[in-house]
Amino acid sequence: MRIVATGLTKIYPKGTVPALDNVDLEIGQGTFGLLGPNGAGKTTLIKILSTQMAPTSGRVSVGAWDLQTNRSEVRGSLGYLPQHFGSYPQLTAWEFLDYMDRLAAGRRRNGRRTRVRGALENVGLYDARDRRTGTFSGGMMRRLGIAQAIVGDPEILVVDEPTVGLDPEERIRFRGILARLSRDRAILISTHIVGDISSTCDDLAVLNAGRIVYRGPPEALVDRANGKTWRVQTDDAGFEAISRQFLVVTVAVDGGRMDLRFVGDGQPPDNAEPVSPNLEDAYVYFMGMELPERDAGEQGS
Amino acid sequence: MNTVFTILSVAGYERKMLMRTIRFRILGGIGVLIPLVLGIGLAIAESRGVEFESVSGIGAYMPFFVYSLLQTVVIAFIVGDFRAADERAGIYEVVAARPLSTAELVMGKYLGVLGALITLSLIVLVLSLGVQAAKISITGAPFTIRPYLTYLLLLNLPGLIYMSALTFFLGAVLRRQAAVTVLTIAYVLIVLLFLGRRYGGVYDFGAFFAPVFYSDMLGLGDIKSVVEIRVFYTMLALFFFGLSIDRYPRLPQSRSWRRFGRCLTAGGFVAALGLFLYIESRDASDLSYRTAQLEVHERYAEQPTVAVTHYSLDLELAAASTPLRSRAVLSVSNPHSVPLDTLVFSLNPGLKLRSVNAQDGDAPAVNWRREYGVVRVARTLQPDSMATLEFVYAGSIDLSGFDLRRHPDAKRLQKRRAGPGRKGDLTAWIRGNSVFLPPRSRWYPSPGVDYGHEDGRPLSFATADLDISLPAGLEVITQGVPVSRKQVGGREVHTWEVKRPVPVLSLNAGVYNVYQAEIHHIQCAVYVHPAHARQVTFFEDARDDALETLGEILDSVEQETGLAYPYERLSVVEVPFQVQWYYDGWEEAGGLAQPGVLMLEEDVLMRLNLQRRLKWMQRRQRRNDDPARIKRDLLVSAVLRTFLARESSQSGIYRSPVAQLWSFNKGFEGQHHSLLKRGMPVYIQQHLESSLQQSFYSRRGRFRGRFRRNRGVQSVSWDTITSKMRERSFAELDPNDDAELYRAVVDAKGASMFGMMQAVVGDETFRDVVSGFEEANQHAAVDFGSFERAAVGDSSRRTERPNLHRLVSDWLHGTQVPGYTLTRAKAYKVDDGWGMMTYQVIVRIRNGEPGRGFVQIRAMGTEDEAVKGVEIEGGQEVEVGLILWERPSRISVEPFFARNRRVLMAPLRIPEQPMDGSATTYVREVAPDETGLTEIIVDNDDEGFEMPVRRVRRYLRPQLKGDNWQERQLPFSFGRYENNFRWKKPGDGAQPAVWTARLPHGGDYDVYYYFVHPRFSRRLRVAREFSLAVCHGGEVDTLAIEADKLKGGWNVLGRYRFEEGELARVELSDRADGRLYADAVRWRYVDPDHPEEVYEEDLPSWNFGRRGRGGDRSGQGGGSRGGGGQWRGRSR
Repeated sequence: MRIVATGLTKIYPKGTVPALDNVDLEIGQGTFGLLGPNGAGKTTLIKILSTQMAPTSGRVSVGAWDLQTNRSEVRGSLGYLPQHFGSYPQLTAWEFLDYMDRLAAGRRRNGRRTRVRGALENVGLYDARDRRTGTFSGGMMRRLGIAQAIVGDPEILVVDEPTVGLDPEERIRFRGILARLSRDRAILISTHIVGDISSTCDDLAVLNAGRIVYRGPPEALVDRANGKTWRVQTDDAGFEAISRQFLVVTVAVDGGRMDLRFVGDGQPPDNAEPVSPNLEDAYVYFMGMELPERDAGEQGS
Repeated sequence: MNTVFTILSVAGYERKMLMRTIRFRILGGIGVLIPLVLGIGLAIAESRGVEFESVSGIGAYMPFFVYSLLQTVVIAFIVGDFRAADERAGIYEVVAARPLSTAELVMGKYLGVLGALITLSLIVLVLSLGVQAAKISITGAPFTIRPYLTYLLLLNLPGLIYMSALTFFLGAVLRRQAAVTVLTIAYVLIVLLFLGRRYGGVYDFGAFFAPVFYSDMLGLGDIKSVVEIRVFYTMLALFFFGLSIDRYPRLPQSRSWRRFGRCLTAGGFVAALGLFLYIESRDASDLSYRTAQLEVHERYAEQPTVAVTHYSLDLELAAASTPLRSRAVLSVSNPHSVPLDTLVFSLNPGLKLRSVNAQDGDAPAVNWRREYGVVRVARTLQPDSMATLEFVYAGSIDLSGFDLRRHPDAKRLQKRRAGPGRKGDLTAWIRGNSVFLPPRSRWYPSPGVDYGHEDGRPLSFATADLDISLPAGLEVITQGVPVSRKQVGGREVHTWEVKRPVPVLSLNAGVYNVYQAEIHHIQCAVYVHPAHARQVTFFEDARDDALETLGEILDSVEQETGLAYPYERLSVVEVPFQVQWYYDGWEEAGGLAQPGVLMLEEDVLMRLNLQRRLKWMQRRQRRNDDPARIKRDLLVSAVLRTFLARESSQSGIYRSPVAQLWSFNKGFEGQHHSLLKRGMPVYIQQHLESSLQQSFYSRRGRFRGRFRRNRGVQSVSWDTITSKMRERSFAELDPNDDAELYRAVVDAKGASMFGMMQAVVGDETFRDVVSGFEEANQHAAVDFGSFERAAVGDSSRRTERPNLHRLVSDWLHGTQVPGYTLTRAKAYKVDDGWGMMTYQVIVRIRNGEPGRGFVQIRAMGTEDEAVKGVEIEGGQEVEVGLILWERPSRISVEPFFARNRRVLMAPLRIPEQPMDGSATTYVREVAPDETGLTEIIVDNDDEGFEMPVRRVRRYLRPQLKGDNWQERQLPFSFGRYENNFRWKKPGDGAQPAVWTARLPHGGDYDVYYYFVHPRFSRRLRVAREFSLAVCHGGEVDTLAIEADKLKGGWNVLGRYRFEEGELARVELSDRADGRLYADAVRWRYVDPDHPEEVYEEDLPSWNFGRRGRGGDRSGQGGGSRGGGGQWRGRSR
């Protein structure tokens, strides 16, 4: 099932700048990542796609259905995990999923137990099925969120900032779950954590100031930073000099020395050694170097 | 089906989640627990002999009533949270993204909440039933489940549905749950405290003020209007529910679901509005219907009509085809001196008149015309000639066809209208198990019309014979005596005969146990519903004693009033408490009074608490009294309390036998006839109450407190009346313009005037006058003047009596209200030298007000008493001498219509040493220089009162501590000094309240301080300790006062010596620990010849909840000789 957004614009009632500005987007099978800094419009886009909010203009179709006129069908094919997910603390995990399944799959009443059990097993919460969700940890709650999103067996999964607040172990586990789920459905992950995308997404779009500034596979984005990513060990003075000319991606302090990883178009210091870029390097390079140049060029032209 | 599945899924889980929340469990638990505790309390009380107003209904009503109240609070705290809770839990977006419509979601949540709350209701139901079952197993009380289910459906569910929908709506549009809760609670409070009982109860969403008491005799009565308002609120619930769907902040699922929400909103609104308009228009049309009927009545009011001398009624009641079918044959006569062409009758408009036939003459069919309840028969009747007319009619009683001067919102309409205990609104009915047809319902053709007469309805006294066909098993009660009773098919025909003429006929029927006996040559019958029979069978083992005592009571009534019971039979009939009646202007339009029948509402009978009182009396009596004797006492007590309760109490006079003695065998007309029509029965009632109480209890000393308590009831109205009567005399009052006041004045002033007459002419003469008047005016119209003439009687016989006519004239036309002080009461033993010892009693009374008044002075010994009525001019003091043959113990002075609201009393101390001479009876005026009393009172309005006032300039000076003295009015305290007074917050001592007076004589004075006893002293932070300084003879005594030891009214500060012409001064310091009150100070001269005399005035503390302890009189030393007795004093 494909999601196609055309000319999608959203202007909030009291806003002057569009939160989404004429966005065209097409999302197919597999995991699709939506990257962008805070305030780029990711959550607005996700809310529109998850039928929480209507766009000011533009059109979205989910498969054969139009989002505006066929909300029931769209909602029926959608699983949604919001950024701030909670649960009914009075219900057990099983009851909660049973409830969500009843809401999601009212037309498919048969096999509810199987679906609930499958969802719980999928996220590794089956053993905690009789525990009240009010007693769950943050990680368990996110997994429960995924479980509720998939319990109706939706064709599309929309996940907003799925790993925020999780410890590394839970984050890895979570990414694994998403990867597994992406085999037979379309997953849209909105995040500002590049690591979530790099490990799971086949395709991505970068959103900035309400517009899509990059659309393509992660590898193509990574290629853009190829030969422009370096690593160097330096001191404070060196760090100052590098940070003036390049974009520092990571800094690791080792005694009095600093291990810098940076991207940029200029001539690096002599002791810098080129390294293979990853998606994070590419994202930083793209947002910090390429995009401003492009915008300047567009303004100039 | 998917929709239903989804809704039920949401509802199920919402209910489950709600019931698992701590808040719901706590609030719900409280909501259930309180009614449960109440139910258990009621059951325990009942099992211990406490009788409640409706035994089978009260156990259901109270728990549901209380739970319904609590339920609204639970809803306010729980239901409004339905959306905010989702948002807090972070689940709102998840649910909003699910493929269910907003309508399904909101509906499911709503049903879930309702489900949880209904579960609570069912728990209340089950627990109440459980409690009831336990009670029944103990008491054997009757049980029916109907009231439980009815209250669940009427009180509980509509309120639940409506409040939940309203709160849901608020929760949908407001994000803050606190706002929802506050708004909901505020709304509930406004309804409960202000709107609920207004506008016909249309705001009463929870039926908190609805007449839904369940009667053992009639069930719920007519609850159509209650059900209408329940439906109205259910429709409003739909409206709010639809709005909740529409305003729920979620993108709609589809247009059809959106339309569904809007249709629900519009449908609910239209239905509710339609129903409201229907109720309003029906009320309006009912009012215009009554108005139109009134006009018809008034049109024919002055048209002379026939008198009916005999009724022959053949009635069929509660038949399958029609509620009432009747053939009435009337013997009519023309009492006028002119021929009558049209004969006017009244007949309830609900009864369709089929034909009117003449049973004499050649043409049996008679032309007739009918306008509402007025039937005009075209038939010529010569003066003093007779005719016989037959009326054939059938139908039902139109409740809007009588009691025409009423409106649901008018104030003076009905008994116990407001409050949760409102009993009902039924004025007449014909049902399969009960019939109630009061005379005013015009269930038979009555001569003339009911409204528009200047002097009341024309007289018509008739005998009757009645054949009444009813479903078998019902007892019939009407006037006269029962003759026969026979079975016809599944029905019974009761034949009654009325041999002694009655002005009206009434009919009661129902399922009754009948207890009959002949007492004092009168057939007495008590008709009691089987469920309440224990209130009669309780006296079974004291039957002989009880009957004998009842005979004594009837004897006493006859002896005290001079009036004999006029009928062969006295029926005491228990009636459902839904019975309602309406005043007609200043008087009750017949009320419930029926000749020969005393009606007793079932709750009155059930409140007697016989079992409990029996146990209480057995416990209290240390000697082992005979239970039959105690039961006899209980019966006497119950009879007196029930049938001779004060007019101002709940029952009114309609239940009194006085109506039977005075009202039914004569008519009342002419100026001031209200005094005779109502004032006289009220007086007889009061007189009977006190005399019977004295006859039956004075020796035993039981129940006295109970009767005394009843007296305070009219205090407030008394003060208001005396205040009003200073503006307008009784003769100037318009009975139509100010019916309420007129009625109250007739009750108060009318009754006391007859008391005064009796005091003037003497008990025996007055009784003869009443008796003779009654005999002379059988079935005639009487006016007040004729009674006055009868009382004044032969002037040669009563030369020494005051001019009664002048007193009565003063009474009618005067605007002054006298006020009396008992200035001296003393007695001494007199030896006439022949060994005859008598006692000379001397009493001085001063009337301190401008108006002339009349008092009755009574000197009482153990067996003997001397009574004297005295007229006292305004400002005059009189001395009265009385002779007593035994040692007198006290003096009482009964004022008639005065500022004093109670009897003035003084104890007597008699020296043992006799004096020579002989005792005499006399009345003389006390000359001003002779009076031993000099009394100066300075009130806070008088010249001698001052309070230093400090100006306050805010911002420039610090705020004045304690502010200045402020004035406070208590309008209902007229006649007392606290009618107005000053109060002040505690200050720094710089602003005392000061009373000064220049005293004319030198010598000792008792100084009094008038203490305004605050009702809510704790709440107002009233000073518990303060100081009063008494300045006398150049010295100052500062008294530390403890407010707890003061009583409301005059408190003696002590006896002090003053110089002649001295400016006496009392200061109330504003340095205190709380709020201070300044009202009045009194200096009372102490007669040097009788320094021990200090008269106790019967100053009531009626408007205060508690009374402080009085001063210790024994400690009153002279002020200058050591300061006030009970106060800690110091001189400076």
